Amino acid sequence: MYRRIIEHKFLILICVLGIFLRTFKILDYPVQLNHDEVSQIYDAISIAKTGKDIYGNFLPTMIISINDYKSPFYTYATALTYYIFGDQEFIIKIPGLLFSILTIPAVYLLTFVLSKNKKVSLLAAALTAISPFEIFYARKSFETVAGLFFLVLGFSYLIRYTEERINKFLQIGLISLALGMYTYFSHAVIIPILITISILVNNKVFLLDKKKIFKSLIIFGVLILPLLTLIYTNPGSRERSKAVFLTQDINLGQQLSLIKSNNQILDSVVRLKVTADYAFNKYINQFNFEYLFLDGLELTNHPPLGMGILFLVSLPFLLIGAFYLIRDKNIKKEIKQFILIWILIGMVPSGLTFEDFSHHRVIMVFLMFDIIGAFGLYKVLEKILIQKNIFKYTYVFIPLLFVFNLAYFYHLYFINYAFEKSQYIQYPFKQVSLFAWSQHDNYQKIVFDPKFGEEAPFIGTAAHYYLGYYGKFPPAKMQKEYRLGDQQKREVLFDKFSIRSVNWAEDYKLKNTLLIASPWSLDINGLDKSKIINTFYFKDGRIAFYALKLD
Amino acid sequence: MIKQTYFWSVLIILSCGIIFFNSQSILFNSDQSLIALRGWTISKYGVDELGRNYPLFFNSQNDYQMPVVSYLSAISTNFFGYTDWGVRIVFVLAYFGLIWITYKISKSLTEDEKISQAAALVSAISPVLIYFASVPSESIILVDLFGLLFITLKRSKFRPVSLLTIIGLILLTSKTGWFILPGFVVATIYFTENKLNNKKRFLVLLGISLILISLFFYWSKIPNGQRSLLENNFSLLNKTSLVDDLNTLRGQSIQSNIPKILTIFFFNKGYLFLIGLFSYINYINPVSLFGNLNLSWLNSGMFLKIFIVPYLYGLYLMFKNSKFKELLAYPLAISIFGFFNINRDLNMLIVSLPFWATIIGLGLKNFNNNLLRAVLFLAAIEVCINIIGQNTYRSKEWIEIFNDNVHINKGQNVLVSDNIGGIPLYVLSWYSIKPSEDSLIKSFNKDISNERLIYKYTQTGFGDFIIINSDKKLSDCNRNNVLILTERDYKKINNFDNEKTYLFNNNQHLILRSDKLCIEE
Repeated sequence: MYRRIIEHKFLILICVLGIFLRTFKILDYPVQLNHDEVSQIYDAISIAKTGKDIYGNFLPTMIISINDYKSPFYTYATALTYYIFGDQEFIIKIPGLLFSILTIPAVYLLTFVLSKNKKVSLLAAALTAISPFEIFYARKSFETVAGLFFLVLGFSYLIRYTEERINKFLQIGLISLALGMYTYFSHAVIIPILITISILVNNKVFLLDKKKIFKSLIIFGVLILPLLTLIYTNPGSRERSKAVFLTQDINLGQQLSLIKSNNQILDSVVRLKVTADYAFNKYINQFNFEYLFLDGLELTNHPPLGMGILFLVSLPFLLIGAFYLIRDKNIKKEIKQFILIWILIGMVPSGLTFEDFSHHRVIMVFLMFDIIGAFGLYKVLEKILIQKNIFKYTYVFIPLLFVFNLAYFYHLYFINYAFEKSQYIQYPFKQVSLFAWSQHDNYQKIVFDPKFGEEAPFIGTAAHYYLGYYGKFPPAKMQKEYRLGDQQKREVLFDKFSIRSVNWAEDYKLKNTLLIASPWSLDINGLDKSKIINTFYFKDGRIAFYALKLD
Repeated sequence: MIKQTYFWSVLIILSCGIIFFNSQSILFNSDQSLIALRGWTISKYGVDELGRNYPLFFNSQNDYQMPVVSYLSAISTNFFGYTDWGVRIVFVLAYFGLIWITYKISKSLTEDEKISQAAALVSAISPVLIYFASVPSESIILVDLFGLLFITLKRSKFRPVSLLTIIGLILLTSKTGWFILPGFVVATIYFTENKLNNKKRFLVLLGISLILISLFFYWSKIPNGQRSLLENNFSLLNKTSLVDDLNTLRGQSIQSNIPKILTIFFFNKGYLFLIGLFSYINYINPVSLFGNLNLSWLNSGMFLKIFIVPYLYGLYLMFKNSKFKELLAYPLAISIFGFFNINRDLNMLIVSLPFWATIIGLGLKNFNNNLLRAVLFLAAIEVCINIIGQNTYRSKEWIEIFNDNVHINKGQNVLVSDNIGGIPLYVLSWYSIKPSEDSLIKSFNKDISNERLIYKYTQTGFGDFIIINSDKKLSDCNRNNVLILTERDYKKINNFDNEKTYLFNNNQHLILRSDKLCIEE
């Protein structure tokens, strides 16, 4: 054991660094749990306590989220942490952090099987430990982080199997990948495609062990059978696919509406072509360098000032790494093909969904960019070592550049991101919820209009989760009381709470009511200021909500 | 030889077919219609759209316009008439010229017949070239001229007169040409095999430097010349919003008690360098080559989407074998001023086309037969659907409605709202009624006609057409005028909802009728 620790001391140090960067001030930044986190933590507690989610579904296989459906892995993982640590806000962060930290040694393993070089593997692990997108998603409790770990681990073992043909590796690999498919919807599609292509690329090896592989694939099939059943039988999963699919894109819709010929077949062909071209453009746009290295993480509202998915300093190393990967004769053709396929297939979900850039769906690609960057970094450092008289200070200079990038990222993350984007994580819904509960006994009714925003209004659809979770409202009670009211006002009701749009012209007449609404819903100028009993602010000091006492 | 003749015959027939079918439904946009109209007024009356006699530089809404394309359009309309094809024919010829030039450039750089033929094919079916062959535009002329410059510089005999003529034409075709020229010439005489000796190389560079210095000096002296450069060619230096953004982020840091020195360290004008660098890199990024160039409503880019496969393979072979490095040197040298121009300059991108086409050709040449057949088959399908798609989209529908419903008598005007998206003044003028000499003279503003140089001028009337902006009011008069009004302007005189409207581009309702209404003076 001790020998192993010594052998991997650098990797352990890198992991420690990764733990520190991911957990430093984790309870303060991001400034509040976002709506996905609150909905998952409240559902997780509900499942842990009652076996049902807050809508009363017994051990749900698809979690009803905010206008969306989520795969259940992260919620159940959080239920587990609830059993261990009890009701604490940080329990929602634990699975994300844990899997993100575990990804560091997993990347070491994957890079080692790809390169057979411990130094490159250590550099790849180090880049993963400090990578901005990894840290960002780990702190955001995003389920894709867990999926990434299983994906990396699974393919590390599958590649090891193709080289060493040890049955255990094949089984570990396939089990990991099966688990990975449960974590995130896009992984459920990507993983089988990648496995199939890997088998095709390494067909010689796989043909040699046909029987063994067939057996393992059957086990894999059995493991993913519940997931497949779920996808095909649960309307929620289809809804989810429809809700995020490319056809929801308004610009594409406008383009398609311009197609007008007298021939339906012709129209269909052209529609298909326009949609395919549109998807292709979206897909290829994900490789835009500005997005990757300048402002992709969207930490500010002032692009290109911001933070890329990867550090800016990684750009030259990525290019050098790609160059050497192409030329390096020691790396097998199959490995090169695997890296290329990983990138090309991994980017597909982003091209097929309606958002311009959906980095959370394609972080597996960014991780591979880190691995390629590690190749480049290794080659540069190797050159410096050979010509150390000329470049001896570069050894210090390169780490300094990374430290500068890291410091810049943390500055943006802790200071500017909080100021600029607080509304996008539903800040200050927590304060609103705590205040509403503090006034709970003083009013007959509490009306909360979740329409808010700084430049433009949008609806915080997770308001009932915030109120339920921060009010410690028993999930069992929520299951009974949760109901939909007037749908023209998007009304949700439970306990004394009515979460709905406010029409001030009518609602000012309400009696014995606490009304919480933003300036988008209230006529502030015509308002009797004495009715305002509290004001809630966004992080940048602009007004988010007023709490009004209506007697 | 027979094979070559066969290849060229097939390629020319194919290109003719593509251009003919693709052009059927292409509608000139505002800038293109202006060039067409200007060409016609010059050829017919010797004046441009503002009434100026044979000017050297023309106006547009964004910048000064160089003269070559407008005068080419004038020659074309003079010979072939006041029609789309009348204007288009010159640009179609330029398209065919470019296919041949791509072949020559490719042959010169790779010395491989198959790669060169593949490159010629790739450029012939390039969506961007097919589009620019169908409309009056400086881009295709500029690429042709740079191609000729390449061929002239590579010739065994030094030809200063040809060289000067081509350089002169480049400089008078597009301002972008001024910025491409130095990099292009350096790449050609230093990075590729060349028969010029050092003295001649020096002479060429000196000559070009002197010409460019004189040109920039002259340009900085004309009215708004410096502004024209700053806004359109050095937009990086004009990015004033960056300072505000930096201050905002710094302010947040200071508010959070972060030491000021640290905030300055993180947020400073050094960002301009990064913005410039990424702007430059974007010119060589595949996203710009295969993504959407926003040229037409189809999401086409510079090359067919399927060609990304041979492109990547070509690049792979270049890096793997360290061959044909100059193919990359050209795009890098051509777009060097992309560092300063952060608004993507299409001309800068398109001048690199023959070199990218050669890289694609390299990939195609090294494909095995099955893959090659598959890629070419998919490319053929892509071209066909693009052409069908272009014709499916009824771009001229609204123009047809206008021409069917509106008959303009002598003395009548057509009053057009200026907030109609996509069909402004020049498009309507070009596609409806040929302006009479009387109506043209009437629309010329004498103050403007006497000016030789006008920067960023927006014309409010041309021929029988008069533009109505939001300040203008309409009142009753004795003359029957034609109205093409949006809701904004029609509401000034009547209730929009009670009228018969025409749906324009699927998103805007317009009134189209004759009425005794005039613009209030």
